[in-house]
Amino acid sequence: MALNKVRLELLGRKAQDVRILYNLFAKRTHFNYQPDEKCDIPGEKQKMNMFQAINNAMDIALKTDETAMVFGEDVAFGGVFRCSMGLQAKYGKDRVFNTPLCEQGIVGFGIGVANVGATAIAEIQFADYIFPAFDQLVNEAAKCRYRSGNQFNCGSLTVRAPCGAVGHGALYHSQSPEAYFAHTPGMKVVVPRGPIKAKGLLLACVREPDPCLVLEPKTLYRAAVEEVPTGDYVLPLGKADILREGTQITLVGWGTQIYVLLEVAKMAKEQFNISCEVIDLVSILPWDRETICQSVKKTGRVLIAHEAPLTGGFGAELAATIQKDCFLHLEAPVSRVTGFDTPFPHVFEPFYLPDKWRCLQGVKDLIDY
Amino acid sequence: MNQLIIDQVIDTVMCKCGCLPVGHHSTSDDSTAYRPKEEAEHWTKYDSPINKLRMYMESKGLWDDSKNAAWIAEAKKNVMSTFGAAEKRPKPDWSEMFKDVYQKMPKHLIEQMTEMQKHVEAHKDKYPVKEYGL
Repeated sequence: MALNKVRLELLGRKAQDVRILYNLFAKRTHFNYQPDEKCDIPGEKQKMNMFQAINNAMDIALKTDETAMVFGEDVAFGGVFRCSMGLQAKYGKDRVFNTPLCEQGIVGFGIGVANVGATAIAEIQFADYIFPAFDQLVNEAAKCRYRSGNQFNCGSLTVRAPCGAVGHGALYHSQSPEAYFAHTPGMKVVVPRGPIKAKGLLLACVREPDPCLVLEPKTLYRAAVEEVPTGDYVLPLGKADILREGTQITLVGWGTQIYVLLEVAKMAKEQFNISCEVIDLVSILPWDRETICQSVKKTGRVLIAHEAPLTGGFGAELAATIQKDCFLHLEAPVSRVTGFDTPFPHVFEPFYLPDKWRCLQGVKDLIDY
Repeated sequence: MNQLIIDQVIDTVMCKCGCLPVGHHSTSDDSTAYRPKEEAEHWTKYDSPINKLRMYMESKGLWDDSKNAAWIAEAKKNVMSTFGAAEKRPKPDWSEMFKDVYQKMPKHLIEQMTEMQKHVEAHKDKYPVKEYGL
């Protein structure tokens, strides 16, 4: 990013033109966003993108819970993705503040805050940086209630982190670590697909009596725009959303991948007259076994897609459970289209992602099985 | 005075090294949150080793403003031409994506690579293969 700035400065007058051209090309994405068709939440609505909706959720959390605090690296000035804009000015430096560059400390401190009954909303700047805090999350936060026989807990801890591919993020700004945390009893994990979900899920997590992790697909912060209810509302954890009904194949994904699958469903119908049902899992832990299996029993075929690598990816858990619950209903093996078993690459991203062409081929292969 | 101290008192020397960022870490950073702008400016003006070297060279008659301007122009030209040349080169063959995960590519990666190669071959128009050379 810095190198591009140097380059543009050296070009002088032409910099503006280059900047405009660069942005035109840079905005090409592997998915086509579409807002939710309907929103059952009553009341006034306002056009918001995802970071504005998240900002709104934290504003409401801070307003309705006097013990709530928001902290993380660079959150004071508004955060690197603008999620905490204006919050310090509104609620003060003792409730919205920066932490040192120390993820272990951010989560450890958050656990302490939650232990004494205050509400901690901790931000990890990129999900790729969550690993120094892994021990705190897995060995402390997730086990607090269990090891103390319910005498203590850190339920009022919520950790938020931007995740997922963004076009140029490479190894350390693109990861989807949901599988590591799905493996951790005691935690709850959700992935919003847009502004309405992001606000409702975040408020639900903040108020949930168990430690929660919200993985926010960073490429949707600006790209996803919806009419978001301005009031205080929560959305259920552990519940998947059927976004498109269909009869022949169930497509399962979460976050950005949902928009890839919706487009695949459209292409499958138009090109091959295949009817696909598209489900947003929403919640990784606990996950909505009932909705998924009900759908697979209906269609007989399922394709799971996620950006994270294949081996041990969360699709594996879904596949194992689906084949157990729906074995006699399956017309074909459970299919997974995912990132490859490599670190997330830089310039090879267009070949790494489970794009619409790989997913569409997966759909065809299922039908032809 | 300092020399006196060095000769008479000190036989152990402790060297304290620090670093001071002169600019922001990235476009999302505001380094004035960590130290006042004046501190970085003062250091850049009076303590920067680069500036000290320049002043030394000027005092020896080895450097001057016109040499400086010429060097800046030449350096810019070098950077831009190297940039341009590098940009014209195609990116590496995309199957490099599967290499160097381990020292020896395991079976499951060979399988994934082969499958993707077949897929790209069948859908060549959908992938930016022309940008990735061999």
